[in-house]
Amino acid sequence: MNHTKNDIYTRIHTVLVEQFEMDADSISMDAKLRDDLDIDSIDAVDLMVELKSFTEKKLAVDDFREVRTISDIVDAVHKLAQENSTAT
Amino acid sequence: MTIPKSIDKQWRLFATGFSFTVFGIGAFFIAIGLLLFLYPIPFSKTKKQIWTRRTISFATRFYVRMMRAFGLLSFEFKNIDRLGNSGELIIANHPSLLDVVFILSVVPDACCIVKEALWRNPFTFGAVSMAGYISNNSNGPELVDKASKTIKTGQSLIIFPEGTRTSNLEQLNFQRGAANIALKAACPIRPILIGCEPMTLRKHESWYQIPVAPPLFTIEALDALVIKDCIDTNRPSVVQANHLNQYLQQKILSELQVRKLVPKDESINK
Repeated sequence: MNHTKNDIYTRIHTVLVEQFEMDADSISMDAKLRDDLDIDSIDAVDLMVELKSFTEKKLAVDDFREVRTISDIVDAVHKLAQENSTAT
Repeated sequence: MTIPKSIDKQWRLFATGFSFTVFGIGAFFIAIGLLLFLYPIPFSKTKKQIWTRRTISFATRFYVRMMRAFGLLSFEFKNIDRLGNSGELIIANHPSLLDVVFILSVVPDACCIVKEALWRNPFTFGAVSMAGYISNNSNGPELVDKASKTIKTGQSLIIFPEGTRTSNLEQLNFQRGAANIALKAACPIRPILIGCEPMTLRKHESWYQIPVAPPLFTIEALDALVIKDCIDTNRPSVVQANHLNQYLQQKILSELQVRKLVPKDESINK
């Protein structure tokens, strides 16, 4: 299964609106997790659980340390998804 | 008899330095004592932990009375008979360095989340590790896990949701960690209000910055809160954590305001 970055972004968007009850307008690729969206490391775990369908494995909190913006998550998840599809 | 102000202040400076020394040396000798007399007894780890915590509680009771006897501070406890229930998350505002000392003095078997640095400090290493306190070295999610498991085993856990001593006294700035722990442990939440007037031993202050007058500490336990009375528990978990955090912050702030424990402007810039 191959997911485009757009698929991943759409999923993140949906999760943030439905599970985090965020204002859809506040979410963009450049939105900063901590400063703009007030997502802390504990929330990030919840978000990662929701994105597991893309990566097929649990994302470690350490994978998340370098992540600052939504587009960073999209890239990280995309990279993991790629590694998975080439590995299997 | 009135003591001249300058002499009083010099005395309090000396006595404060002495008290800090007693704290360090006391913690060290308590650890040595426990190591020699409690550790060899074939008690279970849990039992040793309980006795360590009781010893710490006793020591803090002595310590705050010693500081009072020196004329460094006075204190009042209110409704502390409400404490001592097991399996509660105890939360408090955090005006001063002494807050946890006061809380420990009235809660004989409480777990705390403690700065990693205290494990590397030779004076405090023994006490914090034998007491089974939780270090803050792990990342947020792991800490929430450890803390909620601790509460589920029936221990009460003390947390200052601000994460550090209060810097902006007009508004508290609670981190969501405490709310997340309470939700995960599904436990009652016990708010404690701490008043400290005039302010002393704040985040940016050194021990030798003696307050204008000996502060009065008030430590008051409120009724325990039940999560489902505070927030809508049918919402998604992230939203619940957010709402519970807001609720707790507002609750403690408004109760502090009712008691006029939120300090006035002039003492902030002093």
